[in-house]
Amino acid sequence: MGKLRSVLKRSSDVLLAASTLWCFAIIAAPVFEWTWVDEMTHEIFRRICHQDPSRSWHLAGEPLPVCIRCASIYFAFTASLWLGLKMNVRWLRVSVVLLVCEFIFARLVFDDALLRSLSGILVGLSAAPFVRRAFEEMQDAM
Amino acid sequence: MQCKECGANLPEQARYCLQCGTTVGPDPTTEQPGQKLDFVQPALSGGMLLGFLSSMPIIGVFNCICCMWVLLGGGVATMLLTRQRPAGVTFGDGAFVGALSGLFGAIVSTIVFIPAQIISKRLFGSQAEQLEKMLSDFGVEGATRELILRMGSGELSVETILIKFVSDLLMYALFAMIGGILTVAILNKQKGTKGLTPRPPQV
Repeated sequence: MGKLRSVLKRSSDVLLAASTLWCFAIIAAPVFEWTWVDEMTHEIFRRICHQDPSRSWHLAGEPLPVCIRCASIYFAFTASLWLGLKMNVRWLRVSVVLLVCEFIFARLVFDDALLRSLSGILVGLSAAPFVRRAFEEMQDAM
Repeated sequence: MQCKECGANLPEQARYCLQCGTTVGPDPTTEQPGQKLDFVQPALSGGMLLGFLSSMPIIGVFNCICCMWVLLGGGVATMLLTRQRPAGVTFGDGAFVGALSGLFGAIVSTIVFIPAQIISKRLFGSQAEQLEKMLSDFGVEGATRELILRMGSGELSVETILIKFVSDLLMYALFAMIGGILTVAILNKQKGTKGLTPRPPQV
C-alpha cells in the first residue's frame, strides 16, 4: 500500500511515462508487423479508432493502428507533457471547436490530411496540461 | 482589483481573471468545507449512458471517433457532480467521477452486449452470405464492414466476454476520465490554477 502511494506521489511522472508508452505502442505496431505486438495494438486501438489505412499515416509501408487525427492528438498530448505547457482554457475551447468544425467540414466539403492533423495537434497540446493538473490534484488529495 | 499573475484590471467581485483564468477571489472549492461530494450517483448515471450507447448496434460504432460516447459519459457524470457544488469542482474531482463512470459503463456495456449478440446472431446468423453480399452491394468497406460482419456472426463465448470486459474497463475508465477533466475545463467551473497547495521543489 505504501509502495503504491509512493508511486502515485509522482503522478505527473506516471502520466508522462504512460503517455509516452502509448505513443510507442502506436509506432510499434507497423514496426513489429505480423507479430503479437502488431495484433495486440490493433485490437486495443480498434475500440477507439476506425483504423482506416487510407486515413492513417504509414510507417515502413504499414499503416499506424490509429488514424491521422487520433495519432496527432496522442503525439501532441505527449509532446505537451514533455514541454510542460501551461493550462489555457481559451486555447482548449478554441481547439475543441476547431476540431468539431474540421470534422464537419471534412464530411461535407473538403477532407484534407493536413487539416485533420492540425486540428488533432491543437487539441492534444491544449488538453494535456489539464489532465496533468487533474493528476496532481488527485495526488494532493491522497 | 488586479490579477496577481498577469496584472489585468478586474472588477472587485471577480473570482477569476478574465485574461488568464487565475483564481483571484476565494477558492470556490473550499467555500463549503463541510460539503462532501457524492461521486457514485453521477458516475452511475454517466456510466449507464455511455454503457448503453457504446453497446448499441450501429450507434456504438461512433465510439471509433475518439471514444465519443465514453467521453460524453464522463462529461455527463461531471456535469451532474457540478450540480452538487455549483461554485465548481476541481479537475481531480472531474477525473475521479469520470473514471468511475467509465468503470460502471464497462459493466453496463458488457451486460447489454450479451443479449445484443444473441439477437444479432438470430437475425443475421443464418444469412451470413446474404449479409456479405449486401455490404458489397452498398460499398461498405474497411472497419465498418468488419464490425457489421462480426456483429452478424454473433460470436459469444466466455473468452470473448472476458476480453471485452477487461479492455472496456481500461479504455472506458481512461477516456471517461479525460472526458470528465475536459468538461470541468471547458465549462470553466474551476478556471483557476491555484486549487492546489503549493508543491515543494523537487530535488
